[in-house]
Amino acid sequence: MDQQPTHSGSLLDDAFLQSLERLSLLARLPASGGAGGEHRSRARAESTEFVDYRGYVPGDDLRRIDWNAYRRLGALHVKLAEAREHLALHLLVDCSASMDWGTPNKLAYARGLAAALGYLALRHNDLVSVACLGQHSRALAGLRGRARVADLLRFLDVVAPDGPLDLGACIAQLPVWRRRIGLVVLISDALGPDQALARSLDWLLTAQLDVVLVHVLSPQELAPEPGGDVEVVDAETAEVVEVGLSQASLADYHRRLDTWLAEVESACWQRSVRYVRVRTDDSLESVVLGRLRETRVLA
Amino acid sequence: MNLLEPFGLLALALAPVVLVLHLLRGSRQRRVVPSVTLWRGAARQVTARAGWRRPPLGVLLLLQLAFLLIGSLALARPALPAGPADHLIVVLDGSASMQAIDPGQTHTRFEIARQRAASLLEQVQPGADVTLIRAAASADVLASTSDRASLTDALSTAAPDSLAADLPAALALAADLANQHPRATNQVVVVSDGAYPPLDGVELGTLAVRFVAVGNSGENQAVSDVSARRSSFGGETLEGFARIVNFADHPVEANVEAAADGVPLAPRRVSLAARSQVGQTFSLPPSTRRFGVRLGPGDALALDDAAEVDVQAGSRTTALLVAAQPHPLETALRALPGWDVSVVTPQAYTTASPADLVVFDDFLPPSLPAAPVLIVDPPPGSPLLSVAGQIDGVEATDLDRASPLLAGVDADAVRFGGPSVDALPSWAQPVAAAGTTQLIFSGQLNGQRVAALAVDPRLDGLARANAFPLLVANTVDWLAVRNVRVAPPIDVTPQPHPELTRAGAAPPAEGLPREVWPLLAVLVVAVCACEWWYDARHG
Repeated sequence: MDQQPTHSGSLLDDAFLQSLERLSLLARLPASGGAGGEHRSRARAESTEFVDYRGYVPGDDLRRIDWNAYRRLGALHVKLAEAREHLALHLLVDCSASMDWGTPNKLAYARGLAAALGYLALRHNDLVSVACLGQHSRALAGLRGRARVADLLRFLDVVAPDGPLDLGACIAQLPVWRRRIGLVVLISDALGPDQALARSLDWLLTAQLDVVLVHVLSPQELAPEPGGDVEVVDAETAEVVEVGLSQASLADYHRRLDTWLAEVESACWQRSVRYVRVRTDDSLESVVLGRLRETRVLA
Repeated sequence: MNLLEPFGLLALALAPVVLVLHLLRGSRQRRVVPSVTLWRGAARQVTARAGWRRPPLGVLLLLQLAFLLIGSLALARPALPAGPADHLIVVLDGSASMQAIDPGQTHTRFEIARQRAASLLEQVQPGADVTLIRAAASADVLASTSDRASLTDALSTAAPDSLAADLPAALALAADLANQHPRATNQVVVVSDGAYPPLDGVELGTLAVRFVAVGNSGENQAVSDVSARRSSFGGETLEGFARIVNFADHPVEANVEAAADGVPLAPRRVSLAARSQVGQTFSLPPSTRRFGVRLGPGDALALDDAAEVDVQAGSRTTALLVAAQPHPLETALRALPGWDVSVVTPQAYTTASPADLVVFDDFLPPSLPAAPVLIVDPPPGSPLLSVAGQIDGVEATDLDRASPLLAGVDADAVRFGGPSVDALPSWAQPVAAAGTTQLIFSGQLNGQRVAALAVDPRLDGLARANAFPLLVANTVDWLAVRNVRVAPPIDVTPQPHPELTRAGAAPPAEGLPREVWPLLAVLVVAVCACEWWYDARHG
């Protein structure tokens, strides 16, 4: 159960960035990142993309009258076109103390994943905000365009573990979505007080946000090694538990782990939250180019 | 069940230490984990600051206490009582008399004793210990084991010797060996012809002893005291002398054959009364160098039926007289033809002084020289002879008139005075005694002939009597005989020896306890294995 340092070099390499050029985020809800984007919007905006008719009311733009429909139907109808807006992507990175653990380190992995998704969105001119959730959360909002990639990476590069975290309370206090709804990608190990994850998801859903939970786990959490008697100390609460790392104890741990993983996935499924579980020893490329596309987070 | 080493249970005092070690919250390796949520429940959860905890009555503690209990018990050497074991000690008489063949028998007494001992072995319970002792000049343990094959081998290779048996030493050895088996039923069986005096002084303790007799007759005649001398009164006459002994309880007629340098002399038939001895004189050619006497066959023991002696004809011999006052002994010695006499004072005497005969007058060295010795007027304080007090003007009351020392000596007319020797040395035979006082005795010591005139020739006119020079001449002639090849005469008459039949003490109620610690040691190993398995399985 060793740990890796969280601050290390470049988050993304050039080859990976090139592969991201071909991808785009998939939001299940209409975008609201501003007109002119590539994502479907709720608004009916001027556009060449016809989607429906409605009856003419005085004041409508005469250029929108469908004269073919008038000849067919004998009544005036105006064409409705779907507005295309930019996607608002909210990247929430769990920076609690429990993320600063594992080989490879979970927090470093989360930073890399957030950088990849943020870069992808900025390349498509989407609106990006990123927040590091911890005891003293901090956020960076209003990023748009390729020119802001450097700002994103600089922000993520100095991410550090930040004590215990109550996910629900922390997310509710973030200012980033006071004005924008959109796609929330929560990158977390989902470890925290009981029901904290459920509360955070519920809050996000009431804000009408499309939520994706990327559940990050280290290989050592999934398969701890046997050993003698040890005292395990909680990284966030400093609680101490004596355990004997015998085969029986580890079997019991695996049972509890499987139950907990199922509960997390079930909580997401019940709330129509897209759930992606990743291991820190999975390459970013395989997750971004594979798992996230399989789960329709990316296209 | 008994505990042979109860102090072994003191190891149980370690039990509180084991408990304390389980109570103490030992230091464990600390590991930070993302969350302890998944480790709760199955783990032993404790408050981080607690130094002590409730005693965990787990399998590990119970196994360790079981290890301590069984180990302590093993150290205490518990033993189960066992029935008494048998220990048979067979003393086999290996003396010269056991070589006798009794009338009507084809085997020697020793062979018959071997067969009797073999039958005793067959009657012993399997697993019982048996000790075989051969009683000869020394007591030898032939075997001491429960293995029948080893005992049979030892018995088959045993053999007698040509000397008397030291039965007291053999019985003392048997008693010692019995003491080494305190929990066994010890029994001593003496297989012997009993041809020795009663053993009343032998200490047998509480041993049970049984006497198995072999042999049934004393039909033995022997040749003893073979000698040859040139006449002490001059001339070239050479005489051979032999004594014939009859140990039988009835008169016998013995065929006596003599030879001078291998040339047979005229055989003669000698009549011997019951338990008597007679001397025989033979005229030998002057040039005879070897004289031998043999008895005809027919007696029980042939070992002592022949003897021969080398005769030094025509050569002068040297006599060394060690005396502060050499007279009258020097005069008597110088009168002997063929003798060169030299005299030294006791202070000048050394054992390196070569002589064919050494005479000590009123002096005895710490050890006798390697030559025939004549002791006259022995002084008190010598370890060689026990001299206590003085005698004066005593008459000899017990005379061995057949002794060559008294040949022609009118000992009845002589009075003796001088040292009082009350104890006859073990190497000597009495020749003349006055009650319990030994006056004249002779024998062999360390392979040499020794004679003692325990009288002062200067007292009571002995030196002036005709008996004195004759006594000196006879004694010197007897002493000066060289290279005598003769076995001592052996009385093979069996004796019953009731003192060697006794019931002994009651056998012990129980034998050697059977210890069970090997079983406990196996249990300890099993408990250790369980503890190791449990620790590996459960941590």
